[in-house]
Amino acid sequence: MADRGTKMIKLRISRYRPERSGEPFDQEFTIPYRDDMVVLDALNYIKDHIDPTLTYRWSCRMGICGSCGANVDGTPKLTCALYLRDLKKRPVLIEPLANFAVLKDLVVDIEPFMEKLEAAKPYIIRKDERPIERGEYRQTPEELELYRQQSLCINCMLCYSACPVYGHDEKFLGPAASALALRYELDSRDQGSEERLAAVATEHGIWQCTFVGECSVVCPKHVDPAGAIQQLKALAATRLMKAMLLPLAPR
Amino acid sequence: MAAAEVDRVTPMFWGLFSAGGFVVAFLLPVFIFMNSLAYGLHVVPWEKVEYGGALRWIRGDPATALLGSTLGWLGGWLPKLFLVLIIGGGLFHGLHRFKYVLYDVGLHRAKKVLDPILYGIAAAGTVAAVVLAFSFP
Repeated sequence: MADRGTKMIKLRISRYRPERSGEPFDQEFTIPYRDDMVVLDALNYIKDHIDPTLTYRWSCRMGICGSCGANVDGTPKLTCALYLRDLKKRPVLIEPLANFAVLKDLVVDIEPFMEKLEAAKPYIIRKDERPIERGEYRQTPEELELYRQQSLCINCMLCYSACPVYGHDEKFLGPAASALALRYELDSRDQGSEERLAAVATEHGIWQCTFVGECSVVCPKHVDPAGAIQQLKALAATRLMKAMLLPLAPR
Repeated sequence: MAAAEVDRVTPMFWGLFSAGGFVVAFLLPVFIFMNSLAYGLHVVPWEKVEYGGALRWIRGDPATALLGSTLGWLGGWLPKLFLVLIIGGGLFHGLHRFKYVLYDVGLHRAKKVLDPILYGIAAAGTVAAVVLAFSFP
């Protein structure tokens, strides 16, 4: 299958097949590669040509679906956006995202993450719901710009894999869900700030973040969840102080 | 996830950390510069700086007050308040950061012990700064 002169690359992939054995193990594959191949291409090559049982998530191949995240050489990465030629170590080590339960091979359990997203109340909450005939809640480009950065999250969970605080405590709300909360906090159409902030300004919510900042380093969409959490902290702290110092003032 | 209580204690200390961060980032470098390098670089004419003058200012001598005779009484309070802000703010900021460092190396389980100790040190240092500053001269 490989011509003479074809470049070869060795990958070590973390496997876990609960239907066969309870223990995870590493398996090495040596495959031909070209400079334009990404890690996901290598995984697809292995699945198509060597071992069809290799299990991993992927969909769009262009960094927007957020499903192909894995720890490559110890760093959480989107495998579709990481070129093999940029990886210096051999063999290339591919593991499932850290801090999540592994279901099979590189597939992790996303259920805890889904619960966290839901806990951040990621939807527009209105106090005065307008009848549908009156049309949409309109917004200027400037108002959109306020939360555009946080809205770019693709839920790839790389930030959770990079977060040592989440590694310590699975109850921590975590980076992406917090950024999502801020995205709605900053939305001019939203009126649910009080409710949403109360949901996230808890011990295991934003206040558990120690501002390590790794979430923002690994984020492929430059959402800056670490910055978002600090903004939420400032918002929650000022609101609390206002409530204590001026108990009758409108918030 | 079950609805959790809003944390009302952490934000207080985070507020002190945050305000202290402002003090440390903006005021402390200026303070250090004005009391050290500024003389060497002749930004402040060192020949004109004398201990007696500084003492009169801290004591609130109206003749040296920057704010004019009507607000002259503030003259003695401002430098003292400034010292308390620098020391207290720096302590609450620095110890909060140190606390996070300790959490991140794995002492997060000792939160209930660490928090009172570290914030206690910051509070004690601030109180000491108040006592020292306002008992001076």
